[in-house]
Amino acid sequence: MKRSGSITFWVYLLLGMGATLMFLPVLWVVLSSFKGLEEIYRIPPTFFPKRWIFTNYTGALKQFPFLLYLWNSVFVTCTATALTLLINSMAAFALSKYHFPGRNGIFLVMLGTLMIPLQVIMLPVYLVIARLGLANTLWGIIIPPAATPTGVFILRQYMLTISDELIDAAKIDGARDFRIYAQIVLPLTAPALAVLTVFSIMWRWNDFLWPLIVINQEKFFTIQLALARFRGELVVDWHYVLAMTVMSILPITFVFAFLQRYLVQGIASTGLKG
Amino acid sequence: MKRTKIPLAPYLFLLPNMVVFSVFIIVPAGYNFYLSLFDTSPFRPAEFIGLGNFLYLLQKDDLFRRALENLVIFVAGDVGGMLVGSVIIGLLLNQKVKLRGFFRSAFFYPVLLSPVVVALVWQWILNNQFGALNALLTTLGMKGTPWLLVPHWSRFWSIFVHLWATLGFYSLIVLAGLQSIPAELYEAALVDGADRKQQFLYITFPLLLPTLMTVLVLSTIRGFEIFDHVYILTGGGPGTATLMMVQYIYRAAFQMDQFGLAASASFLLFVIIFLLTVVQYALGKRREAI
Amino acid sequence: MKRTIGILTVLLLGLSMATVFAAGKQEAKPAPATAPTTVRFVWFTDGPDKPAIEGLVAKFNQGNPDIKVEFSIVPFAELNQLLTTQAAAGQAPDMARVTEPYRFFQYLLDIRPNLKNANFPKEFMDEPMKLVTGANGEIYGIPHDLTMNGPFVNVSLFKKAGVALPASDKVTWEEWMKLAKEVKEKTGVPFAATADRSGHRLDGFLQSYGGGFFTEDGKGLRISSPETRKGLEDFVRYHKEGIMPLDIWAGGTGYVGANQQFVNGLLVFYISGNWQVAQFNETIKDKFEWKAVPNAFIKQWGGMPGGKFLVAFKGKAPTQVVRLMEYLGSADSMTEYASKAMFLPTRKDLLQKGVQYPVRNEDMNTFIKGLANLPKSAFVDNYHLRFGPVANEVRDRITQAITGEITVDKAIELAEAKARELLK
Repeated sequence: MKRSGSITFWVYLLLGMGATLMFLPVLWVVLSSFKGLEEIYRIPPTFFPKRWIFTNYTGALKQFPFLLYLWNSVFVTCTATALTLLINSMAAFALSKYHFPGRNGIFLVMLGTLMIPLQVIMLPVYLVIARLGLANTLWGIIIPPAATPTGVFILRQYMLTISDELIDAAKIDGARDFRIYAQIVLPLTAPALAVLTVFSIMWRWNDFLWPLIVINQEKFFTIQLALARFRGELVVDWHYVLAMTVMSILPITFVFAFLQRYLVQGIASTGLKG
Repeated sequence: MKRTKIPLAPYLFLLPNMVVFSVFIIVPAGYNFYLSLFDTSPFRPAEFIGLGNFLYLLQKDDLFRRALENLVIFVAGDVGGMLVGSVIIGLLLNQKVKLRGFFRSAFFYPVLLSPVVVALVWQWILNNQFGALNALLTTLGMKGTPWLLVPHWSRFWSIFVHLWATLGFYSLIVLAGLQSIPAELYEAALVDGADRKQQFLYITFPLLLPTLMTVLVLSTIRGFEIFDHVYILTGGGPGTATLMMVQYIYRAAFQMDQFGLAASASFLLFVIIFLLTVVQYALGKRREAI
Repeated sequence: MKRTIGILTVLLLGLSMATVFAAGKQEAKPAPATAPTTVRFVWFTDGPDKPAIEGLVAKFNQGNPDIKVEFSIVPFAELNQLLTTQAAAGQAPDMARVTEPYRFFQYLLDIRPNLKNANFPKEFMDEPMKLVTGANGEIYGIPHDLTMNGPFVNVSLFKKAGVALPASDKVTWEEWMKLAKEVKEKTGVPFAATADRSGHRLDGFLQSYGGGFFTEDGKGLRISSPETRKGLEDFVRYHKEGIMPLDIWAGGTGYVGANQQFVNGLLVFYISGNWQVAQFNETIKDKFEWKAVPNAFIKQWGGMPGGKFLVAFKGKAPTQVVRLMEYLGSADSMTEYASKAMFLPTRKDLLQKGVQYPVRNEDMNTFIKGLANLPKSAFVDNYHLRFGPVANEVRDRITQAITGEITVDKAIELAEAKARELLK
């Protein structure tokens, strides 16, 4: 099929404009992080720094144990993601491949919990955490968000599209439930799992309010918690905020760049499915 | 008549997830409802007033009604934008163009940023004196506007910034949905002489509907829960033009010390979202293929 | 079939409840006699106080090897929430710097039994001390620093505009506004005058009119009194006339400060408080000349006191936390802290003697003088148990009046109705 040239032009144009809109604000933040405070407050603002300075970064790093926060964030994000993938996929499997009493009810309840944002149940949730002895531990911020209804939702929707014939065939061959889950359904769900992985990494990395409530010792702070400290100063040190922000975006950008190829592959492979 | 045995397996698979749910969401939510039946104060024991808080909110509290109004406007714009935007972007990203990977990263990038970062960045861009947007407009010969100080602009930008930060997420979902449509269907349609518009209307759109249902349900729920982005961007202003429900609750609980009232408001919010979701789910079920 | 579901659901809920309640609180382990007792100290910072308090904590740790003070800083915006949730779960720190001690009374420790110097509580200013005193005379802590509201002026801008500063100390807000407007027009800066978006600042503004929030006995309201009404009408009018910008007061329901505008030379007249002096000194440096001026005098002097408190929570280190408190509240520590952090002291002896500040001595003492001139109503308001929420309500309603959502009269009506609710 011959593609009309003008459509291609529009596609490129729109994509280009969209990409610019997505990147430009962040680019501006990155550039601003190399500006001195006076230049940041200049009217009219400059785009490229007139003078490139690195003291925003060195100053921020000197004041705070950034590597420690980084480690905490990494540990929490990875562990929480692994846990999320495990229990969400198990739940999604049950909700999509079985018929049992209470199936719809449970799914509705799960969807319902999507509607209860943390801001609203903060106090009672913390009480629960403390009673379980999870206060001020990294596990206290790993476990509670792991049972995310969004994850179950995404995985279930995807698992619904997996043909039942494969499963029936496996049953006839004598495979037990767990084997069906682990060796047939899970691999086939890879693209959705990849999506959930990326989301979970992002959510846990950016979690702020919940870690703030649970953690009260500096040695357990995550990066976002540390970033938030700047909000505590009456005068927001914009130049430090910008530098720390850029540093906090770097790891997740890198991880995403790596996983994104896998994502594309995953999505592409489903297109070939008969 | 023999009854089919209820399988044990699904319950076991569900168990870990449900335990975490119950302990960390359902039990606290129950306590929250319990709290909503009381008139609380830091200085005296709570008084049981039954539905008193609810009646107050619905009949006498102008801020509550304002927050609800604002929220409905926000969700309408936000979900609408999300549906249209994610389809357009999904379609664009599905095209066979060079640098496809780059473009996908580009749209997903803002999704990676924390709401704090997103809001600060845009607050800075929209700043009346130092902002990049007004600077751009003045160099083009137009006048700058105090964007976040004009009520309808403030509402517009709240929606825009949230879309900016979230479209990539839903676009990926739509993209996955688009890619699961078998290519043979398009090939067959071509053979039958269908043009692009017909292909879209009769193949793409119908098969994309389950995905769009996902987008609709998720974005509606998230829309009603909006807080971080808007609160940091506008503070709910100017005046109360962008005061949303979660901010109302937050203010009642932590700035006005009225825990019982806050609990009631959050319960009402929950009810609204719950009803909407049930309706959407029921409508969606009729269209679900499997 | 339905029964099975029912049973399973009940079992599941029961399992969760059991998990939650059976786990119970953690048992406190008695500290071994040889290891130092940990005292957790939570702080929030305005900036320059950080090195001052860290220095004092380090000295205390050195001089008291049997105690280890674990010092941590949290953002101010989340302070109350954090402490409430932690205290409710029995996980409160041992000492904390707070602005509203009353919120935590049920969790606080009466320090009297463990005091070395029984007269300690009386060494501090009376009015603020009331705020850490329980209904039966329990002493939960001490006021640690005082703040005073007051305006700052960008003197360089006045000079540039060729406008003279008022000769007398007794100036009305109207006069200040006129001058600020003139300076703005002649110099082209974006902002003439403003105050931080805070009910506390607003009340200080109102005091000059003889207005305020609460009656002297603390039991009634003055929000709709003619004096308060006049003040609020003026405040809204200054916004409508463009003298005060919308940027600060038209925002939603949070605190907004105007530091950035003033520090960058864009604001002529800024109603804030003494806690800014140290930061201004560091960030403005020689960029322009500025100074603190007295609050306006209409019917009486304006301004509001404020302050932070150190409170002790019930916990595992009752004697140690009191030792820390007596150390931090001593005349030597407080002199060091106040002069380093550029704060006002709370000890009666220091307020009388005055404090010699290393920099900006004149500005700081303008504030100390302002404190002495404050009408009693200012203290009544600030230290009223419900001042926080009432101030928030007035602030938010006035914002609505400023943006034109409601009239000033309606704002006053709604604010007073809510305040009455909160007083119950």
